[in-house]
Amino acid sequence: MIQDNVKIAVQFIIFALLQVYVFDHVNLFGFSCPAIYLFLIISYRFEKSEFLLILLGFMIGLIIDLLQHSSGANTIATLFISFLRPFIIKFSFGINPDSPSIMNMNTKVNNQVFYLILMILIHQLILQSVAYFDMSQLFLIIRNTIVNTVLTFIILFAGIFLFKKKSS
Amino acid sequence: MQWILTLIIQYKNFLLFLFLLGIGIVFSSYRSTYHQNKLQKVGLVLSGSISKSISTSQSYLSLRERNKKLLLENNILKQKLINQSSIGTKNTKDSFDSDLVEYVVEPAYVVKNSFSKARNILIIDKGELDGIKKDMSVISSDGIVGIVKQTSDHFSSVISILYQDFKINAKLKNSGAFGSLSWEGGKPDEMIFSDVSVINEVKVGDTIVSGGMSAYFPKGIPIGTIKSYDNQNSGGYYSIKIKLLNNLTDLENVYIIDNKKRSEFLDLEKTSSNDSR
Repeated sequence: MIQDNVKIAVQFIIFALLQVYVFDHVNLFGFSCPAIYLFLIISYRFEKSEFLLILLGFMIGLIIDLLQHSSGANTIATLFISFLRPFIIKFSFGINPDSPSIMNMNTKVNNQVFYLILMILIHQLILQSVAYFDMSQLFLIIRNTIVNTVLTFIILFAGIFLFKKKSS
Repeated sequence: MQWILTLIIQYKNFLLFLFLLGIGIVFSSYRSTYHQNKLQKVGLVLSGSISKSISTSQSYLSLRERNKKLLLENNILKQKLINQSSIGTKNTKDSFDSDLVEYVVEPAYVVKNSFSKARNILIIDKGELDGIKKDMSVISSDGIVGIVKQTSDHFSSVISILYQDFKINAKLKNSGAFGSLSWEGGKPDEMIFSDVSVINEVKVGDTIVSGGMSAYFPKGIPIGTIKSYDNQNSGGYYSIKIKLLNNLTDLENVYIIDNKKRSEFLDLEKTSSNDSR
């Protein structure tokens, strides 16, 4: 239990730093940057406390916003996705998911992909909407959402795949 | 107390989410003036539309009360207007000199109205207890309506101007020529203006106003406009058809006019007619 929490705390720091100092500088097509810190929320074990997850989501978003000097969009988007995660899990894996984590080998690949895409897409949609906060910029919001979702999905899926391969 | 705690524990995730969302929004508005402005705008739109719908429903509920107020206000204005025209230039001040008030106006609702018989009567919701007396005149916002015929404690019956054998003193607004107005039955918006000598010039569209040569109606209240006229076969008098300004088939609010100098006028009329015998 304590080991788990320490692991999460270490991951927290690593992902926050990686996001701000590495992935924020990707700038693919001049506007796109993947949100890899979402891995923390996505890989959080299904059976663990949702209360802590909401706090964790808020904290990681807040840290990213403070480091990026951005307007608070990350805080709100990550908070939302942490709160919505149980519903998305139910939607993707059914009422009783067979495995306790997306990192587990037993889960079906299409369920994993669906879960991953849904999490990233909703997170990006909220992130971009709050960042622009203007209905007249709808085109930009949708464009950025789609491009960032694809980019984040590729990186996270590759990461999870590599991690699984290594652990197996 | 227990159930509050149970509720909090049951929805602790949602409550935490709401709490942190609040912090996130405050943080966001604190970080960026753009978001601050936008949020304030959203707040303004929200509070504006909410208060608008509240005030709309409130005003709908208080329509009756408001109508009453407007009627009272109209009443005061009407009284001022009638007295001003009867007193003329004597009372040009804003404040009213009570000695000069010749006509007192009282508002009333029409409870029953008829206009299709040969002799039509209206019933209004003011009676003796409201100071209504026989022979007071009744007008509406557009023109004259009739004369009070009978009164009970709370109601009065009014002889409509749509009443055969009932003649009203009236005059042409432009030339000032007097005549008398009567109704022949039939259309409720048409009356006959007779006894106007052909030496006066009349035109279609001229306005007819009350003459003021009786103790009933104050002078100068608009009645109708000339629809058509004929000066043939009438022995030196016009036969004029009038279109009433007032729609007597659709009456709701009326004003009762009390002529304060009516008894004085009648006494004088009586004595002078006795003297002339």
